[in-house]
Amino acid sequence: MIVELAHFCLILALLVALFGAIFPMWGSFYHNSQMARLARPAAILQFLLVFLSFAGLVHAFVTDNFTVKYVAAHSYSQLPLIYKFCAAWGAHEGSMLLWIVILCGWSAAVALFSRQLPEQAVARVLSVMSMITIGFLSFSIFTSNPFETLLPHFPIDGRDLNPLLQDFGFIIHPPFLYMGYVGFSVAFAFAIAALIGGELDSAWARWSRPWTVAAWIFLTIGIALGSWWAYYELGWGGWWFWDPVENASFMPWLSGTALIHSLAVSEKRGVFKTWTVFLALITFCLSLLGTFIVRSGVITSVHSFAQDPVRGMFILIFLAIVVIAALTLFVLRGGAVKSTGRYQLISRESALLTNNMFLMMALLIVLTGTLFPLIMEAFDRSISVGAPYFNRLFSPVMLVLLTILGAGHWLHWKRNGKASLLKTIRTVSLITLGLLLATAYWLRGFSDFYVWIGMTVAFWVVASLLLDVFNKTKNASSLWRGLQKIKASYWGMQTAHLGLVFALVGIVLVSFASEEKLIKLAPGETYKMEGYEFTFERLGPVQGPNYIATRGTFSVKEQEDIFTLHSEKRRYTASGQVMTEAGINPGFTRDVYVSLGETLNERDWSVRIYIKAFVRWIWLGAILMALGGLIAISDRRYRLKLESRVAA
Amino acid sequence: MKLKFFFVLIMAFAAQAAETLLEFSSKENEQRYYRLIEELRCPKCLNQSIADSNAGISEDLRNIVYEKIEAGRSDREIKIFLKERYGDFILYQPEVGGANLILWFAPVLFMLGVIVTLLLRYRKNEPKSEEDLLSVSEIKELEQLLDEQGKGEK
Amino acid sequence: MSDSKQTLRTLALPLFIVVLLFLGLFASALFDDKELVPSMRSNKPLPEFNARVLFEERTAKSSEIRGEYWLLNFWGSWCPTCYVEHPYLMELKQRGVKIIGVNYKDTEAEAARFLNELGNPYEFSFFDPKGRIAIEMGITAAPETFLISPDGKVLFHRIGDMNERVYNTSFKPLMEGQ
Repeated sequence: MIVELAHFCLILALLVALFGAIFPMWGSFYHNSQMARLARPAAILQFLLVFLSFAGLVHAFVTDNFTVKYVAAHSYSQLPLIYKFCAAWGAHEGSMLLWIVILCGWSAAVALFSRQLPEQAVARVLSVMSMITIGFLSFSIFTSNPFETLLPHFPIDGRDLNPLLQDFGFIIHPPFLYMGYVGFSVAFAFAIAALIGGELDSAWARWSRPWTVAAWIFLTIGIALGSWWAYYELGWGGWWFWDPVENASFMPWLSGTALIHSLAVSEKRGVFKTWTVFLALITFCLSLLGTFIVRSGVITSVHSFAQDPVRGMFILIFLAIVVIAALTLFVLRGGAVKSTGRYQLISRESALLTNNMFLMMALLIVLTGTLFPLIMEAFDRSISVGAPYFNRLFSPVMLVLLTILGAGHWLHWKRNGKASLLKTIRTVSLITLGLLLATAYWLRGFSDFYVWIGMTVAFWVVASLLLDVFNKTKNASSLWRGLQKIKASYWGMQTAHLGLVFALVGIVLVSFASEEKLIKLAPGETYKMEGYEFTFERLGPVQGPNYIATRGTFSVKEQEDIFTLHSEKRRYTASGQVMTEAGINPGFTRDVYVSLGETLNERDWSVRIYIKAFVRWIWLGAILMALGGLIAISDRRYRLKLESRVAA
Repeated sequence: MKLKFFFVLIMAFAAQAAETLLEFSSKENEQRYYRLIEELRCPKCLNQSIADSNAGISEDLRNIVYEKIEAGRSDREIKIFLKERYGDFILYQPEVGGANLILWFAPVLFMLGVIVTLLLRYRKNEPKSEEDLLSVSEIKELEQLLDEQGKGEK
Repeated sequence: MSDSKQTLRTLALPLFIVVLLFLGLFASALFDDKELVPSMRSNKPLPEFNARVLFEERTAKSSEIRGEYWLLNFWGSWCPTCYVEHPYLMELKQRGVKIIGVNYKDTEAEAARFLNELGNPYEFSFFDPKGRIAIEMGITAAPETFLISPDGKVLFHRIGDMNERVYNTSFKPLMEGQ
């Protein structure tokens, strides 16, 4: 009964979305404020309906309702309760529903928190959001219905959730990722509304900024969680594979990063407005492209959902409509805007624009690498594009980008005097050199070019950040006073950029300073390597709730410390799938990672050992970036609006 | 504490010498091996390197790579050997040449072209004087200010 | 600001063409089910290899596979699909089709159990426990089957199980065509 109600709510939501797409837009054109005002309640109602629908699906999972096809395929009576809950988004149909809930959640949030905006703008923004919702809701209802039943012949038990997904990382990774993916629809809707109205002034940039940054924060965390999950769950010790599905989430991140910077310049300086609108449009289009790649299976990937050409075709048509409509509108209206600010070549504006271009270069590299095999397939050639390609092209672009990013901190808006500029460059270079010398003793063991150049760039950015803070505070009566005067948005930027430095250092060192060994070990034996002793203590069976496992216990001696690691080979009873659980001892400067391999004979096992240098810094960097975004949107400028709204 | 130390000592003596699964004749060969198996794609899997995959074929391919490295073959020779048998598909790093030139150079060259174009366009109407640098709104403000001043003086 | 408007209009056409090309590419890719790994051995002479014959002391060479049409079938007792295709291979043998096996990543004891249980459709099998012949032929898993012409050329490479449909559509025409 609940399942039918949930299904009904989903269909009802589609009707409300149709309603919410047409009438407010109509009202906004014909100055019918009654119709325009329908936008808000329609958005909130859509959210309530899809939320109820999703709750119905979760209920079916928790109560083991195997009459529902989707539940029977992805749950199991012995599955721990928390995973039954999460299994709701464990495969295509349910994750699509979660996606829709989040999309409607963003619409509802816009409806609730945008009271200071003109009625007309809100009506158009929410109408565009409703149109997007229509696309996804009909996709879900007509091609990927999670509420399809197996009546009257249903199985007595389910086929279990994919064991890879029975994990904490999976519980939170998709919701964060979707929050980010879908969140860019808000910036998209604002841009479309602005194009329709022909009002591409700074106002739309100011309105959409906090929303865009919020989506970017979620996407940053979502990607980092995915990386962390792959690192410990796949058992290969890698943290990024340049898999098409990873790239699908990385592309909107790159253009979203360009967008939040471009929005800031548009709002503050009144330049690059056309470019900013374009970025807002393509960021969401890239989210849709990612959805197509992940859910159509045209590009083979470890993570793809099952193939179904009908589903793929549906998303493709939707993608085509959105892209063509958005681009047409952009071409017709985007040129009408006039940049009001002027700047010299050596200025912060130029630095930001150049970095935008380098982000686009990075994006284009990822896009080309991801789609090129598909293009070649059309010419009957089968090729692979993997990590070596991406690393080779992406790394230099990132290093240039970070170098300009550093300069962006101490370049002034509009113009820079030659003498003071040279002086600044000298100071920053000296600090960089100082930091390099200070760490040279520790870095001396590295002969790789990339370690040195990577660390130099990292220190260059750190030096730039420090100098910037110094410049900001030097006129204050005391350092403390000066620091207090600095606005939150500035600290947000500093934090995010520092996060990027952390990620860079982590990436460089984990790539060049890590150790990897594949060894043969029997219980009782010890393997010695530089600085470490691994002892295979014992091997024993473990009975899990829905799996049986062989657990290897290892004690590791690291200088004077001794710790124990467990690595398991699990066989999941319902599906028969075998999974490896790695044993990891995390640390600030290194992870010790042990993964039980195969039995080689009666007593020996193959065992993989990794010492991963500074790998945590990558995710720490991502957390700092997200934190920076959070600090930035907590800025008083946005809070003031909140207060004025409360007052009104 | 002492007991623990003693225990560790006994364990160490009891343990037989463990060995790495593959013995390499040089550190360089070992590094080449680990790098190379990351750059070769498992032909049976969806998207995994032969280093990451547990498939039987990956195991055999790893062994071939190991033997060839130890037999003194270069990375290039090994890649050509595998390419003859499994096609370009097996190489995660596409060869630089032919249609692949688009893949390797198009993104970077295209964006460099955009940057140069922007630079040239910028050159054409570069603000030269202080006045040029004022934004439209600033000019308006300035005019207003001058206006008011003028009124004040009158 | 007709300038930027002008620029946009000029850029619009190439932009739309690129977008439409990609959309077309995606659409065609959706309904395309090509083999991921193309066979590198098709239409080329059978590469040279030799290995011990299963259950025997003697060594056989690939150059012995000549003179008439041969099927070269990779199998293993560990491979579930091999059990599925086995009855059909037995049927082919009955019809006089010559099959040589390659026992792939298996042990002789297991292979013997498999053939004793289900019958032996092979003239003989190469013993390939380490998958060396498999790599020589560009095999990814079992079962896979090649069609070899009388002059020792590889005519066809089947990835997956042998059955009546595959034999009639892909193997038979090639064998009768010459």
